[in-house]
Amino acid sequence: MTTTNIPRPLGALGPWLRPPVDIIEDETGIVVIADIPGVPLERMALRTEVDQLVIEGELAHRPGEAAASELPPGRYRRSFALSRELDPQGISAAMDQGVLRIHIPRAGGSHVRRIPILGG
Amino acid sequence: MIQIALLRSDTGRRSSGLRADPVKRRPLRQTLPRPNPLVHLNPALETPGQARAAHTDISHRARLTMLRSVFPQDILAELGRLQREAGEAGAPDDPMASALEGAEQAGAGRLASALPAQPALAALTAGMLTAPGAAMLHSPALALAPGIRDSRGARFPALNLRTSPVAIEIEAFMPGLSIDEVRLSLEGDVMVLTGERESQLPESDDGATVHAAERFSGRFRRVIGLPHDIDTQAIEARYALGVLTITVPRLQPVMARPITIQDPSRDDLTGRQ
Repeated sequence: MTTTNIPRPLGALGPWLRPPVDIIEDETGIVVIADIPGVPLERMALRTEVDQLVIEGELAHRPGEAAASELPPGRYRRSFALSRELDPQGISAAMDQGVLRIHIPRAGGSHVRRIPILGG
Repeated sequence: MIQIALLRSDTGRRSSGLRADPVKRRPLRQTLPRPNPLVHLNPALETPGQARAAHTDISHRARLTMLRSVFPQDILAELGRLQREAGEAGAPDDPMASALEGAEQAGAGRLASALPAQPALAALTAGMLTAPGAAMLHSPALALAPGIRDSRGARFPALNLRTSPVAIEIEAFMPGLSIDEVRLSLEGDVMVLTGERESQLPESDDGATVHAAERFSGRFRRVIGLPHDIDTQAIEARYALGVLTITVPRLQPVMARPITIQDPSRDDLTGRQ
């Protein structure tokens, strides 16, 4: 997995893990697919802060002596700025086998508006 | 545990890049002044074909017995020697470069997987013999690296490895798969995890726009070297929350048993036959 570490914030346990995402947009809105393996649902948090969509998840820590870790214990975190034509109230999300799938609908069913270019 | 270190560390430190210097480096074969029992007694380190052949000849238990008879002779001295040698070799040595060099020289995977691993083994040893600090556990030399047989520098799935006296636990972070898409097999002492993850991205003529495509898709293959003292019949694997957890129990050593020494010169019951 291409999860990479980003600098550890003060006071946080372990490094932040940046989950890899696919982001696909079509007429209905935007779909965000994120790889967040090893996080039970109760340790996941998905919220909107002002214009940000924030994904957080805590990797369950397992006991035992770590001989090697490609994925260190820590917390997943990633945030995206939402643009105005998206509807934060309509966001829905589902998680299955470590894959989080978020759907962000367009506000008011608005569609891409073609801007006519006037010329002489 | 030691064998794991040997196999795992073949690309342990990648920071220095490929900088193998054939003049400066001693030939790999000479870095082991005497035969290394781990290398010679482990058919899994040979090519897969040889490994299978060896397994038909020598049973697992027989190899264990051989190992036990060779191994305890002076394990601490041997580990210490490896550690000193790693110190002499210095940090810039790149195990991957060594592995490639080894493969070129010997034309076989055996050297490549086994010999360049010494710095990492020494690091592990240092961690075992001194107080194992957190820094040691997370040192680059100890990082689980893809095996020499991994496909194209595979990073998927990420692997975490834990050891205890009773078992080895391997976690493979591979979200979004179904069990049918994953294959786990054991070839000698080498565990191979293969599978394929389908892309979630739409076809190009779908009218959709892809803004980010970071998630792994395609075939994957990870190779994990296991130590000799494992119970191959009792390996368990469980897939939950997108994590495949593989538990490999260790064979438990036979309990120590006191043996009475008889002295016929003593006039007691045990002396009379």
